[in-house]
Amino acid sequence: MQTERIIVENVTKCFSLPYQKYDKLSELLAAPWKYVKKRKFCPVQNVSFKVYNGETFAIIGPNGAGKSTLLKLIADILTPDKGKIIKKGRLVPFLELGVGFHPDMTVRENIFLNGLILGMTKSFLKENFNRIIDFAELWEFVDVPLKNLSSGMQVRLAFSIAFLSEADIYLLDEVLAVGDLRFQEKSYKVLQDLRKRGKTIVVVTHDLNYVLNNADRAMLMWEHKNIMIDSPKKVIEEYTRLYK
Amino acid sequence: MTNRSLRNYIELFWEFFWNDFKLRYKRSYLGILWAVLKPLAQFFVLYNIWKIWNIHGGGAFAMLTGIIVFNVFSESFTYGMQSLFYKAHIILKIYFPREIVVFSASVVSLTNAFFNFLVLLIIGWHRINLPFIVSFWGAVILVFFLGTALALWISVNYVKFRDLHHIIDLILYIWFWVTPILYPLDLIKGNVLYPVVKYNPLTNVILFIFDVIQKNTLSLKLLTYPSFLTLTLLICGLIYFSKTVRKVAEYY
Repeated sequence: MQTERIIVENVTKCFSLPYQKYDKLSELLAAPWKYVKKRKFCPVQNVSFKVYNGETFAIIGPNGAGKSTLLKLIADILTPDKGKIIKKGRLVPFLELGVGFHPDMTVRENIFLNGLILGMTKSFLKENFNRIIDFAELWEFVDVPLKNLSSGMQVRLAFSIAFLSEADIYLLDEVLAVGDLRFQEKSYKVLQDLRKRGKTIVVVTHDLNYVLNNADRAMLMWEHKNIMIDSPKKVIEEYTRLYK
Repeated sequence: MTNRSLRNYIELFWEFFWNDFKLRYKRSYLGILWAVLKPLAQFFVLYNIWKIWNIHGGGAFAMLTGIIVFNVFSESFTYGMQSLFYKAHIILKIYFPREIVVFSASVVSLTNAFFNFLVLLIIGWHRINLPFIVSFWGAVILVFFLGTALALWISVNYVKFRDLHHIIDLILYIWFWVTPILYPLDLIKGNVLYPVVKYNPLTNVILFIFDVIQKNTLSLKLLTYPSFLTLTLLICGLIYFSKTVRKVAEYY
């Protein structure tokens, strides 16, 4: 019997989108509140699924289907309007790599800031400092302000810090395939290694090759609903069929 | 998110605070010296102008001290209030207790107080004694918590309603003038503003610190009202904050 790591039950999330339209400045000045109209928009509608311990669960679908909102709900950044989400174990979200990075601070300072934001402790980061720099291959830049690094190097650094975090569940939103070819290979290895160690991975990606080769199950989000959960092969077939 | 350690919270608090502090002086040649130079220049001018009046008995020194105490209040309030807004890029990506963001921002007002205090030591060295030092820092800590408590009430709504920026600016401007720092309390008896000044919690804090400077007496009774108010606002503020902050990601 497999144990559940994440249970999502009938989750709905809606926002009210403001529409602002005025043609003349005088209109705006006369009644600024009159020109903000609101419309209800629900990026996630009645979505349910379970993620089991040790599996890699991929969520695919077109832009604007509600994938990222769903991950934000799981990561506690948003709260669902309806339904509930249960998580078991320690969860680390990577909705973006390098959260909190500041361009004026050095690589060293950014490692501590980002690591602490991800939930690590200072002593842990000190112990693993060399590993991070080794993995990111940034020895020459340790005390250089981050803004002097190329954007590729910055993502490499972010990735190296991120995957040091010890967790049971990893949430990944489009953070695969960063850096150059060599680094991509390295980062895929890290994910495969996590999988071998029995970690649970929930990943939102457009990299269908990755889904086909690495995911255990996949889910298709289409127009804000979860329309299919099955093996990656079948889900990708359905996804491409819907596009035609 | 589950299972973050308390240690991580404390370290994260210091990291936010320390980084904001460092970033203020990064890439400037005089660096942290600015933290002392600026108040030194300001206080030097004010001190020499106010020396002519001696309305509080303590004169210019008392007024400067009053201004420093008021600044701690207004800075802890505004820094804390704006903190969620300025840390949007982090708040929208990862969950951790948001109180850390507010407190790490408002505590910057205490470092400003520390540097201003150094300047007071330079300008009024002959007036500084142990009771003054203790009561000064007592007053500073009290108004820091009062400002932070108000920040907890406002910060979530500040993200949503940008009008608050202008409203709070105005309120703090008025608040400064209804605090008897640049005039003695007795002088405005009978004035329409008198009741406002009287029930302003900062009035008592200022009167307390002036008593220490002028008469060298600790009128601790004066602090009862502001302390009680601060504690109430802080506790209710923390509860209100934890309830409303869950939706903050939708307000940006």
